[in-house]
This record gives sequence, C-alpha cells and structure tokens, in this order.
Amino acid sequence: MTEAKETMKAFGKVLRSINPKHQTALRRLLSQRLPQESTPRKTIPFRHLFFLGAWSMTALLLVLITRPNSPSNIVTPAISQPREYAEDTLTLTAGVTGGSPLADKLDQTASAIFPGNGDVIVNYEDTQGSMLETTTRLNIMTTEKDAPANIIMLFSSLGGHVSTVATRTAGWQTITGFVPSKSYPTLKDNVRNMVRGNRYMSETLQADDLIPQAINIESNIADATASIDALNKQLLEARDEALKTSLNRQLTSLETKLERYHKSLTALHDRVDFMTVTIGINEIPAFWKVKTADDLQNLVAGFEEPSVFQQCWINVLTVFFRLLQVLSVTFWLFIPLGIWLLARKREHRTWQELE
Amino acid sequence: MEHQFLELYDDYYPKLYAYILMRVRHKEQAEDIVQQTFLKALENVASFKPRQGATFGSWVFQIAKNELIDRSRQKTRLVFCDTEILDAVPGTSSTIEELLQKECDAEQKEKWLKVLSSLDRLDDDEREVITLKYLSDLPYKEIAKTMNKKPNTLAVILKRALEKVRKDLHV
Repeated sequence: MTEAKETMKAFGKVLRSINPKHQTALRRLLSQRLPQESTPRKTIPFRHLFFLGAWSMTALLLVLITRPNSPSNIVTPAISQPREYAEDTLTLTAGVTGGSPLADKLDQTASAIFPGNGDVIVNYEDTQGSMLETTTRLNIMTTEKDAPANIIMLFSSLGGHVSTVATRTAGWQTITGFVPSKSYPTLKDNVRNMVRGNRYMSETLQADDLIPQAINIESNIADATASIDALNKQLLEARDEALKTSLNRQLTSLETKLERYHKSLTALHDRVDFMTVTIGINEIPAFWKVKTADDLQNLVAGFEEPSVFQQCWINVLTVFFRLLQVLSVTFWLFIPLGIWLLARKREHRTWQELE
Repeated sequence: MEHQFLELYDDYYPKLYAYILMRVRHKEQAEDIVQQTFLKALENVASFKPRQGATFGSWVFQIAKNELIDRSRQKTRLVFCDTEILDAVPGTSSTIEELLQKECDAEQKEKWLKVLSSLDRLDDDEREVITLKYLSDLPYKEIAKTMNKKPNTLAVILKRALEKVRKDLHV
C-alpha cells in the first residue's frame, strides 16, 4: 500500500511541475485583471448587527419597564441633590407640565425640601404663600427590626400623626401619616439613617395646586357674607312677622353655609401645612448585604440563626429538585444534541485517522 | 486582496493543472480550462464566503469541475472541428503521453504510462480521490468538500482505490 502511495505521489510531483511557462503567463494576466488595491470597507457582519439590535431592543424594553412613571407627567426639578443622597432615586411627580407658574412653584418647593449644594436655597417658609398640597413616598430597605415603630414615634415627635399602617407581605410595611411641611427634611434624614449604607432608597414627590379650590371657597364666602348683610338689612326694615320669620330662616341657612365654607378653607390650609408622607419599609435579612466588616458579621450571625440556616437549605434543595423536574420533562430534547455530538466526534476521529 | 489572490494562485495552480490534465489528458485544453477557472474565480472572488468548511481550494476545484462539465457538453458538438484544428498545427497539441515523453526519460515514461493505465481502470470516484489526493496534493477536508463526500466514505473509497492500484502495478 505504501509503495502505491509513493508511486502516486511521485507521479503527482511530475504532473504538478510540468507547465511553469503557462503558470507565469497566466499569473501576469491575472495580476493585470485584478481590481486595484483599495482600502477595504469595514462592514459589520449581519450576525453582529442582529445581536446588537437584539441587545438594544432588550435594553430599551428594560428601561421602559423599569421607569417608575410615564414620561408625560414627570417634571424633573432643576435641583442638585445632596452628596449623601447620591444613590437615592428622586422623581418629582406633579399633575402639571413644566413651564407653568405652578411648575415653578413646584421647583421652589422641591428645592426647599431637598436643600443641597445649589447656589440658592429657598426657605420652606417662602413657599407658604403658595397653595401646594404635597404628598411624598419614601421606600427604604432596612435591616432594623424596630424601624416601623421608630417611624411611628418619629411622626409624633415632629408634630404629626400616623393615619394608617399596613402590612402587605411579611417584611413589607407601609406607614402613611402627616407631618408639618417644615419638619419633612428632619423626617427624611431620620428615615435615611435607618437605611444601612444608603444601599437603597427611593423618593417620590407629588404636588397638587389647591389655589383654584381656595379661590372657589373664598368667592363662596364673599357671596354668602354679602347675602347675609343684605338679609340683615331687609330684616331691620321688615314689619310683617311672616316675612321676618322667612328672612330669619334664610339667614340661619346662609350662616351655616358660611361656617362650612370657613371650615373647608381651614382644612385646605391644613392640607398645605401638613405633608402626606407614605413610607414603604422593606425589611431584609441581615445577611443580604455584605459590604463592610459589620455586614460580614451580620452575615455570619444571620447564618447562625437556625431558622435562616434551615430556610437556606430548603431553598437550595427546592432549586435542586425543580432542576431535576425540568430535566426529567425536557431530557428528550437533548437526544438530538447527543446524536449530533457523537456524529461530530466520530467524524473528527475519521479525519484524524485519514490524516 | 491582490496579494492574497496571487498567493493562492501560486499555491493552487500546479494542483489544479495536474487535476485538469488528468481529466482531459490534453495539455492545451488543460491550460485553457485552468485559465478559465482562475479568471472565473477572480471575477467572483468577492462573493466567495468560506462557509461550512469550504476553502478557496474546494471552491476553485468546484469551479473547475463545472467548467469541465460545460466543456464536455460543448465537446459533443465541437469535437470534430477542435481535433482537426489542433492536429493540423504541429506543436500546438500534445497529449499527456507526449508530455511525459518530453519531461521524463524512457524508463520513467514507461512507469508513468503504467500508472496512467492503472488509473484508467479505476471507478470515477476512486480515480477522483487518487487524483485529488496524490496528484493534486489536496488535504482530505478539501477533497471531501470538492467531492461532497463524508470522511468515512472517502476513507473507504481511497483504501479500495489504493488496493487496486497496488495490485495493478504489482508493488
């Protein structure tokens, strides 16, 4: 067999070396016909473009999904956040769009609430002339177990009060309360201290203009006062008893209305003076965050608790058994893959043998 | 691109020439087909995309095979005229036997003629494999791609062909 191979190889060598003149002539012809050397245009392969497009779309979708509010009603205030709040997420939401007088007032209010490194710090008192009802929501993640109780006490100590405390799921509580607008920065600072390492804290601020309502009530008050004055004048001039009785009834009704209007106006001013604050507390296990030596100690301490340790094991075993379940259902999908891999291996071995 | 193409040309010209010569057994026709093959390759080199193991070698050999098929179709109509013209002009036509006579001494010529006749007795596939492997010196992967055969089949054909050649040449 080797002899036959060698003979064939020798014959091949003779045939391959038979025609050098034609080779040279054809080479010359080809080099003449070759296109001029030009800088090759760098084209991105289709599959790269496909993956780039797919990744961009995914990123866009993620951004759209994770946006807290729709873009139509978000006014981003031109305020500089304090350095220590750098990791916080701030979204200022209002029922109006930017550029209106209300939006300007809103900016002022926001600057007052979040005093930072900006050149102009507007005092909270300066905004009292405006009629803005402000609602805020703070979301925190904390390892402090006493955080809800501390927050309730904080509301009282700042001159406010708690209206509702709701527990949605284990470890997740929502506390809603009212606090004087002036005291809000203090409340926020105290709440922030409960967040270990500033790892997570989001804040949403919503402001509604109450001026139209106030104007409406004040005009009703003016009307009612004028009517009472007119009725009083008629009552002084009246001689008929029946007419006097009728006028007195109307007067009483109007005075009741006037009192109601005054109460509404007071309530409206209270809504401006007090901020509605909702605090979402997500209590997380101590071993979640490993950042500092303290956190590491917390981690170790967390695992030392038998319930945590047991829960971890249960989770690990659950994942393992779920994987087994998935594999048992989908194992037949791997059969063609296995056949293909075997065929490839066999082909590779044959190539090696041939070479 | 110019540089690369000419490098590939230098590499593949002798291989392709040997293959074509073995197929047509005629020097001028082989030269013509090789020339046409490389010109077509040059025209279409921009569209050549190495996919699924295809190499420049397998691609250019595929062009050559297509050219051979085209020529064989034309030959059925033109063979009379062609042969007449070639035979009428001395020195312009030479068969592979004449070429071997020119290139080698008498003893060697006898040996190569025996090899040629031995190759003639092989099946088409066997002759193709032997030609591509030993006369054109192509790697197995390019042969498999050119012949569109799986490696196992290729191995069997090659072994059978070599066995036949060995028996025929008494080596």
